[in-house]
Amino acid sequence: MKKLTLLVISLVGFWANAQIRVGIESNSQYYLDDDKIKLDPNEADKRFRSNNYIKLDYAIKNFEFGLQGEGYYPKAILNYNPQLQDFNVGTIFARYKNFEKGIDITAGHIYEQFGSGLALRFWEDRALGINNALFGGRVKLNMGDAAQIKLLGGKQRVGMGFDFSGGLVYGADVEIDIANLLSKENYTLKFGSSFVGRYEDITNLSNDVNNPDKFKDVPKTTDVFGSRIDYSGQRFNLNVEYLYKTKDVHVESSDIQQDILRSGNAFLINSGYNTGDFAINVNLRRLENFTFHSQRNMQGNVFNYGMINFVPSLTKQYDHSLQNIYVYQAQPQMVYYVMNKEKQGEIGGQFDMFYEAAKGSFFGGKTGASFAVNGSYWAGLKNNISRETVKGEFGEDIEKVKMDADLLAFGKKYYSDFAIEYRKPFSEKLNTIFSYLNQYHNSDFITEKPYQVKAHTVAAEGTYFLSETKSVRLELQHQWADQERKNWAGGTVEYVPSSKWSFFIHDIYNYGSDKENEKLHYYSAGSAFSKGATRIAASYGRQRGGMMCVGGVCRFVPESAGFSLNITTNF
Amino acid sequence: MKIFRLLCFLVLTVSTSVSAQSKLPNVTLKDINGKSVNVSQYNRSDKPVIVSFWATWCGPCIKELKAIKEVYGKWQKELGVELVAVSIDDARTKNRVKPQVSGADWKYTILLDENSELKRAMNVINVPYTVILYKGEVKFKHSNYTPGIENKIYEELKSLTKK
Repeated sequence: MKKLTLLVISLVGFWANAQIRVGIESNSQYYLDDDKIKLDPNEADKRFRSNNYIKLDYAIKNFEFGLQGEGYYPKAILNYNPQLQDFNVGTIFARYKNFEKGIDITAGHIYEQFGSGLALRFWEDRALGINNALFGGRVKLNMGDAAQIKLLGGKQRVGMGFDFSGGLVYGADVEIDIANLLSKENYTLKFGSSFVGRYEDITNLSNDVNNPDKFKDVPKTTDVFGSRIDYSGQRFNLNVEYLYKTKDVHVESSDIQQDILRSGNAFLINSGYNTGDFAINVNLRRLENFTFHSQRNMQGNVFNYGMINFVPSLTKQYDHSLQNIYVYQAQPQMVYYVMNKEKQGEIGGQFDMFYEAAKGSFFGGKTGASFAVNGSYWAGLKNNISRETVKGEFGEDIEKVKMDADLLAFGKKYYSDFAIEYRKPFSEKLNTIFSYLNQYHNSDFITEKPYQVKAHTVAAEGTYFLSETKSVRLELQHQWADQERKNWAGGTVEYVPSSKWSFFIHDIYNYGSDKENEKLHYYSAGSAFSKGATRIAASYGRQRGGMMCVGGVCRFVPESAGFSLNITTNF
Repeated sequence: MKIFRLLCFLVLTVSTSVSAQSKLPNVTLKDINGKSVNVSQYNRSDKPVIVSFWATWCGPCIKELKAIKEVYGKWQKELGVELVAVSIDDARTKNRVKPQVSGADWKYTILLDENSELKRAMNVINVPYTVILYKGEVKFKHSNYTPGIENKIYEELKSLTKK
């Protein structure tokens, strides 16, 4: 008994220095059929669906242990990766971190990013159903503040925690802080270099009995090398990054094209200038054959699993629902065998401008105002295509396509946008935001629909304070579009009686569609309650189908109707 | 009896550990100029520190930070508070952080949590998410934006510092 008491006391002592953190998230849907929107009969066996996450982290001195349990029960919410099912371990890790000595060692599931992520990014986004953590080991070493070295290797999670893809991924990244070495205080200058490799041997995997050596020349390893330089001064900043991917076979519609062996590259420039109340930023990027997956034939999968690198679309992510119908998705991939839709990558850029007009100034008026202006232009690379016909093994004609691309030539236009946003408080009690957005979306190339869309969207919103923490918000939107489902109108009313509660009603109406059955209201109403770190939100209504995008990565969400309940908390 | 004692100890254990968890974790992020900042250093501050998670694409976050901007000078003078605005923008939108901050003339400390390391460590799910840290302990958490929340934060700050 004494022994036991001692043991428990020592455990308490042990725990007293420790920290436990718990995070819980639960997202549930109950799908209903109404008179217009019905659940796909193939999915109708489970009308209630729920995605649940519980994350436990325990830290003691320099050690940390973490576990994330995930439950998709009875089934994951519509259009999540079907490999996400039942209850299982999502991620698990042990870590030793000594900040003073600059040592950080992790074993288990790892999240990481090299540079801007164009070479490697392991991350989680539950709303998108992405968790591509690497299961393996990582060492990070800090040499003072002047240099950081990262080394890692392992297998990539593609379903639940222990469902891995075929390839082995390993990498290294070094970042040197030159300004720190030179003891410069008024600017930072950093140089970084990364290497990421994938080992996947498919040379013996030909299932073609007539051609068992089909894949004998497919490289076993594919590597990405990159370098970057970041300068940040008082007013001006500049980042330049260049990456090169070694030769690999082309994959089209999950088929390995062993005859097409090409390298890839990426070039990224970001530059900004700011004074106290005015700032501008310009981003330029060129990508050629720059997808990178931990298993070759996972390229192009709609659930976004197996990605090693992160290639976001460099366009603004807008606030209002009608502004998010025609979204751009980055086009780093190649297409050879779709006539007139050949692709080798993308080229383009975006800019952003922010201006704060002070109170009393010409643009600011009595209460001040803020302006934000942004735009982007993206196109395919200009394709130089040649075709030749060769004889197949039975004497049939087979057309072979050969392509290359010029360095700075623009091909087919994919997307452009231009937007202005104006925020103006009219008094202590009334805040307003007005915006205009112009978009061109080449759906033919981006979403494989046979048209190009031009759309204009306006939105106005006002928040009126009834007391210090009680307010009403009204938002109105309209979109004119010349294709797809054409014109839309929408509105939201939100009432916030206190900092704990909010209630909303939202509707977007596709009144302009040519098809009678598409002239739908997508209405919803709901409420959210938050207290401390807990937030509970419930709503009922319809959801428009389409691409749901976060950080430039998109998940297709089908049209649906029903109830939803989201609960998040931590302690 | 043994079991009862054990249970008592377990309850004690859990409660000590739960109370001990209310600090900022040991995570190093870069600030807007690329300098490394270990977030746990704020546990040693004897002034209140507001940590606010936000993103350039999050409309409510921008509203919250713009609203606090109007009163931030007063808060700093009166209560010595520091606001640490942690941007969770990733590679897609992180280049918008600097012009947004500078264009809006925010005088906050801006940290970049580009791959959600601090967000994950603190179990933050949605932005905006705001905590107030005072003398090494998290005293207040709020997990979304409602108009006028700055008044509530100000009240909390005043009651914490007893002013």
